[in-house]
Amino acid sequence: MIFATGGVIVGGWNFVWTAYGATWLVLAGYALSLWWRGRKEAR
Amino acid sequence: MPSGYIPGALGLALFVVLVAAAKLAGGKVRDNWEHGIGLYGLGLFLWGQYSGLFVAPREAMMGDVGRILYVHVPAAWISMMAFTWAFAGSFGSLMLQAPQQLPKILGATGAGGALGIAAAVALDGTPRKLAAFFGVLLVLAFLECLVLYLGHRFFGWDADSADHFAESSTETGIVLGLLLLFLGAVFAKPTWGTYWTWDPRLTASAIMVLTFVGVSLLRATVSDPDTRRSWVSVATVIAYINIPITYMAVKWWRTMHQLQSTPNTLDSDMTFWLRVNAWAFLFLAMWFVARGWRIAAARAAAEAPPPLPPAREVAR
Repeated sequence: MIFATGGVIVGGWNFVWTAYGATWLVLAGYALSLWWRGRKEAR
Repeated sequence: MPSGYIPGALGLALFVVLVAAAKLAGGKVRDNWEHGIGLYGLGLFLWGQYSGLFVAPREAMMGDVGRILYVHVPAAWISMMAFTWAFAGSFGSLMLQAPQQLPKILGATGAGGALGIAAAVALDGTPRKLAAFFGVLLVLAFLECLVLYLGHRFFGWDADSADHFAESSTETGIVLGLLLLFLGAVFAKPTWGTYWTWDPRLTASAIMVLTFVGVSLLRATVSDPDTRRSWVSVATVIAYINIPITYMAVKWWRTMHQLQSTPNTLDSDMTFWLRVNAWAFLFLAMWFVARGWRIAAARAAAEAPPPLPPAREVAR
């Protein structure tokens, strides 16, 4: 839920959590991919 | 607030210590040193993300939505940084095709850079700007060649290892660049009322990511290793031209995207938490690139043809 009062945005935590969640997901996913590919190449 | 540079200075000092330890100790330390910098980055990341969500003050106009700043801006900075590493790796790969020429190139770029800077000091107006531009460019080329020379001499860098570094940096830059575009869209909706607009900064950022995706596709489609290395290096150097354009787009074409924030335009608490998150992204990116560099080198070694038999066996 988001609305603006007097030019100031109020709320919008759903956007904040989406942004942070996507960041954590992408960084963790990429780290896991590197770990997995590293193990594969080591074999 | 303490200086936001302290976590970065500590991390960079740790990086130097780890690289030195890897060089001196060899063995397992040499093969795993980057985990130290990765763990440091992870610690900073957890601290920075928690603080960005719950400790940093609300932005004056955007309210809590402004907290997206602490992931969006580091993703932008560090994706450009990773593409800069890719450029440095590709330029290095081209230079290291003839490493014996490096001392001459060092002399030429050093002298040219000094001349350009001296001319910039002596001249005025447009000639001064031109002299400063080319002087700084040559000084940067000199510094890169110096790093390459030292890397070649003390760490055995060659054209292939520089290319593997560029490959890994490009991949990291693309991952962070795609994240940047997504975060930008999520940030734009509550603040601009739309997920996407053809603003020059947004368009240049999208072109930046797509161009490096193209470089990666080129790498995947050329089978001969030497041709691939040369073509991809040239393509990366050309693709990099868009990075300064992307960075400067908000100054050159003023539309929707705001100008770069500075410590003068940002609350000191917000500056601190922004820097903590940026350092976290940087050290995590360093871990990504180091791991990717090892993977690229191992894959190239596995793909290399077996060595030829000794000459005597061939004669028999």
